[in-house]
Amino acid sequence: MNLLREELSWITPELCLTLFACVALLVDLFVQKGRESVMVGFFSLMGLLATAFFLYRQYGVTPPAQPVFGCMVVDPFSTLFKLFAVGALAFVVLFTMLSRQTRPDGYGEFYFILLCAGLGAFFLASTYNLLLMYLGLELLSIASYILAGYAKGNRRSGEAAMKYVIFGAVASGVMLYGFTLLYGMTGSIDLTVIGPKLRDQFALDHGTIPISVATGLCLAGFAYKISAAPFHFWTPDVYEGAPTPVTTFLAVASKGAGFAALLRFLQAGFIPDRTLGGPEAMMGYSDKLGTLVAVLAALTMTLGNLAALGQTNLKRMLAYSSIAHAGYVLMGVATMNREGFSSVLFYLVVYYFMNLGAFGVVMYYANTTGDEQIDDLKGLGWRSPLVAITMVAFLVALVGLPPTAGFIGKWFLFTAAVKKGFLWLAVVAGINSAISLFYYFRVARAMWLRPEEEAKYATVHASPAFAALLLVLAVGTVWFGVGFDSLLRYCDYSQNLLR
Amino acid sequence: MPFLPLIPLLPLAGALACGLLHLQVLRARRHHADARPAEGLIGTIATLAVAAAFALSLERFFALAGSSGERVLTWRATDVWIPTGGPAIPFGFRFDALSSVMCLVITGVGALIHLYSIGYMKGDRGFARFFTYLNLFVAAMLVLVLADSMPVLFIGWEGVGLCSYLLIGFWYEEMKNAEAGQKAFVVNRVGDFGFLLAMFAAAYWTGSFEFTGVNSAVEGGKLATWQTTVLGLLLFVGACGKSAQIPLYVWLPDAMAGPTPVSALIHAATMVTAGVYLVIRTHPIFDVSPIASGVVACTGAATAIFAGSMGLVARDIKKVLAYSTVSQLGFLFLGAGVGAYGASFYHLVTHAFFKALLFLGAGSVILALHHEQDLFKMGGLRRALPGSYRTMWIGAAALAGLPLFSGFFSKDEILAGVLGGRPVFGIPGLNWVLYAVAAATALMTSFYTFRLIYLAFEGEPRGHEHPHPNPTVITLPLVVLAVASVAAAVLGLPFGISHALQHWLEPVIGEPQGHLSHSAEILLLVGSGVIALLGFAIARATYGGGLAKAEARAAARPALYNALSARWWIDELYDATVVRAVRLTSFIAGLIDAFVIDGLVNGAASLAKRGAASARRMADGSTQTYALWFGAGMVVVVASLVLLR
Amino acid sequence: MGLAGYLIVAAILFALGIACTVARKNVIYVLMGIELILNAANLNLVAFSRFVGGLDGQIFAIFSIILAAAEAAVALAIVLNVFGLFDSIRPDDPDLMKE
Repeated sequence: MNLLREELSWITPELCLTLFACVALLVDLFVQKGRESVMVGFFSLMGLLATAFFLYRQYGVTPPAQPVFGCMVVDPFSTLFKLFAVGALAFVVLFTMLSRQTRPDGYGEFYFILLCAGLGAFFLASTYNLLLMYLGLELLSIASYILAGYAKGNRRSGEAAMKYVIFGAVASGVMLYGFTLLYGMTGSIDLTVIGPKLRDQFALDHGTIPISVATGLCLAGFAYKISAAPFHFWTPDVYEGAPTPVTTFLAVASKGAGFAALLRFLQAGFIPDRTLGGPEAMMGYSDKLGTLVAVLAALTMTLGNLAALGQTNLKRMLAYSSIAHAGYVLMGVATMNREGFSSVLFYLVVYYFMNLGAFGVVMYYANTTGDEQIDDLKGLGWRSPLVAITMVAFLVALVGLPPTAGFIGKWFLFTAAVKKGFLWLAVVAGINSAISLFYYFRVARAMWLRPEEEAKYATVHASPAFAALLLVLAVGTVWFGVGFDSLLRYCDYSQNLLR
Repeated sequence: MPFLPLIPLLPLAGALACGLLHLQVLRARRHHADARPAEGLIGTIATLAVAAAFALSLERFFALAGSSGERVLTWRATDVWIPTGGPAIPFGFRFDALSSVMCLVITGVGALIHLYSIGYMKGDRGFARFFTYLNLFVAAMLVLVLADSMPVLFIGWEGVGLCSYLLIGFWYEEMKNAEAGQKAFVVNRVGDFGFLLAMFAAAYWTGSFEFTGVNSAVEGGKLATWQTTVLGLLLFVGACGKSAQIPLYVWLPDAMAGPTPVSALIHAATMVTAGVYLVIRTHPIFDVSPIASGVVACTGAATAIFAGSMGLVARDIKKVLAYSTVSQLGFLFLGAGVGAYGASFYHLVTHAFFKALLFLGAGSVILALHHEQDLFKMGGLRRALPGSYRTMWIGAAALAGLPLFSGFFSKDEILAGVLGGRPVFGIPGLNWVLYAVAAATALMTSFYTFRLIYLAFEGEPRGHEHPHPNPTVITLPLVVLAVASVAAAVLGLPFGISHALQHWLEPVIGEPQGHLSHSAEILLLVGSGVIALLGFAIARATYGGGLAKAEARAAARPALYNALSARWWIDELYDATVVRAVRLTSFIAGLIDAFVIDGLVNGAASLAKRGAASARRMADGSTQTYALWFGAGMVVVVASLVLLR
Repeated sequence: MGLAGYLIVAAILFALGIACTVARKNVIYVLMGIELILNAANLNLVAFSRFVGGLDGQIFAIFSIILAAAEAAVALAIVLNVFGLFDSIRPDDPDLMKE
């Protein structure tokens, strides 16, 4: 009984989140019509705050890696990703409360589903069990399908949901098929067991064809979640069609969770312990996998950037931009070593700040004008200088220029890739960064041009709450470009204990 | 607090103060659309910040001069600014012979230009914003020259690029200005990319991000020749972008869209010389790689004559000066390429003085004529603007290289360096070719400089009868710079009379390579003087009487008069040879510009455009196409894992 | 019949499922294709559980079936919504967003 209680205590954040998701659903029943968004949103925020508190208590736990129920693990790696998810959820909830786009009836369920999706992200980040990984993925995905189509009666939203559900279901089915093959080869669904078993198989040198098929299928599934080319096609359509807060959630929390699961998957099963030394065949396979990921990375960033060039819709442009960024992050994954993985973590945190901010501005702007075209941004710099200035900070970070965190994050990714010998990849990424300058720049320029008709849009000052949110994000974006030491150390530290 | 970091921090603080004042103005404009910034206060703060940095640099300079031994002051904030798996990146400054002079020039000329700007920008709605950027620029430029490692230099490098972009597009409400800014920004990114690659390559091969580490590794022969060549070429790509060399020069003439003080400070005196500074700073790399240094020298020479020929026909007063700047920067690279670092740096310093002077003078003319920039619509300003006339004449004489002005000596030193320096690409004969190119450029320089002076100041007014006179804040910097343009000569007089600058720089750049005999030196000196005077004479003969006379003569020239007048003979000769040659050169240059350079740029652009279109078309909106892509991707991923070894 | 037989049947089902999702011009059939993919995986799980080891596979299969049901429910609701908005259940018809 004591053992049970102790293990339960390790999943208090998950329990807390579940509890508050249910509370959100209940509160919705008792709140008077028209006030759901505010009230339920408030309770959701409380829940997230409590969850964050419990997560914070696990922040520096000893012993650092705590297995729970034999299928989850609480370690700095998962805690970082969970904090990441909670923060993103909090911003999404706040954006939703402030957004006019998503204010029809039935908003209690919206928060409920959002929190459930967050729970899925939690599981993805902290499990090394294939079953739970699949469950977490599906929880996150199914919730996301619903959220994408949440704007009832909106044709774009409906279309987005349909594209998402078909693409997502195929992808998760394929991944599941890959999981079953891994299970068949090793007789286990536990990555900590699968890893050594695979090592034995490599040592026997039976050839790597079954392993290749299994990993290839799993990789396709992960690639869909993080929208890496050529598995990215759903991304622009879904991001454009979904309500903006949902898009924010998909671009930040969902993608982050996908990366977390991918890293754990690779780390547990496919990275030989260099100090112990694995079988020769395993080393070779690991490098091959890395090269494949590197090719995917190059493809992803190039396709994303090129397609972003000609976009006129701001949200769609940011969707392609987020694809390109997935490509940059994959650079770190391709190294298949500790340094690369910690640069991935670092970049994801940076990515979190700049994308939340950029999407936040899009939402503000869509609220004000009911429109998402880049050209109509004209004069935003004059009407709402604060919003425009923070947007410039986010854009500069997205390009990857100093002194923002975007620069430092890219710097670590580049160094990791170059050290691993992927000089060509770094060159491709450099060229891509240069290309990206064009379309980010267009947004910045549009904001500071005077509109032809001064009074086309009434001046709407950002509400103080919203301005404060944007400022927090902008400060974070710049802050991690200067004082990144502790974050870097934490990212590195969490690598120690992965598995 | 040590003094060294204060040098860039002072202008940075100035920028902050001005920025806050600008925000205050913006807030005031919410209520009164016409709220004015407190110009006196802002101007004083900004100018004093830079002047204080100058005083501080001067103090440090004397401390440096008084110190014994290696003669370098250093400051380290941290040894591990950015930890990498390999060599750590430190954050620190290095105040040595080279950076000390750069600091003095930047803050000295910068302070004068700040003072001038108070008059020039008077009444502009963005007065505070202007000084914010200008101060920020000075701070970034100081970081650039003080940096002791490549990443720190890169901060300054990007900072000056940003400020340059912001200031070119300062009057961004006009599309043309905003586009000029964008062009500068994008072209500079190409150079930055080269610089970044060079930085990584240097750190990878030498194990250090610091200049001392990289230089000593190169000097110690740790790198193979191909490695130094790659390193040198990459660095030069970076230098090309910042210093507007072929093929990345295109942004600088357009950059004249910015306010004139900006052109003087950033696009003539300081920022554009950063590329040359970088080459001198990393000179051991170029010393050991004949290919890299040869490329530097040849690109410099080609840019010099190319831009010079463009300057001959330009009508916009600022465009003439812009082409002239590109051309003179080519000279600097030519000098650096043949190993005459001292001469190159000497010309860099004198050029900073007289080109800033010319730009500021041009600004005073433009201001007096209510923003008229067309030389053909000026004329006769000599009486209306005597101060501008006299000082600009001195600046022109220095730029043209008339004997006894500073430009004469510094340009001559580069020319002598080309002949006496190391053989370009290891082929001795090439130096003579480059010398010929440089001499021809010097002739052009002298001609178009005085063409500018005569068109603007002599003859009858064409279009603007009543220019308004300039205030003291505008004329005072002109006078100071004019004095400097003459006095700077003492930094390096020939025949060993004064080699002050060369000696001062020796800890950094070493002994000058190669020596010419005294008689050869005299010959060259006389040659340079004759070339400059010849250009001056041609310009005087053609435009001395003002534009109307020159045109009248060109239209109806009696043959007898032609034959009798020696001046006409020169004119004819000029017409037959120089003009044709120039037209041909301009024509070829135009062709190169249109087909090769635009072609490269446009080719890359259209490639990107086509790639972008096909990347977009891949997403055709159909759900099942996406599913198909997924299936195909899955098959390819699995197949490549199975099949590839 | 040995393990290989089950695996071959599962692989065929998997391929059929992929083909069905890519080729059929009716969203309902596309969803059925997805079911085929999932059931191929379930067949694998049960077969491996029987021949290789442990109950893990069977438990996994049960979870997977439940999830497939949940996914199908959501997908059908979404398709219904799309039918209301676009008056069509061809998967290619809704293409407001592209390029």
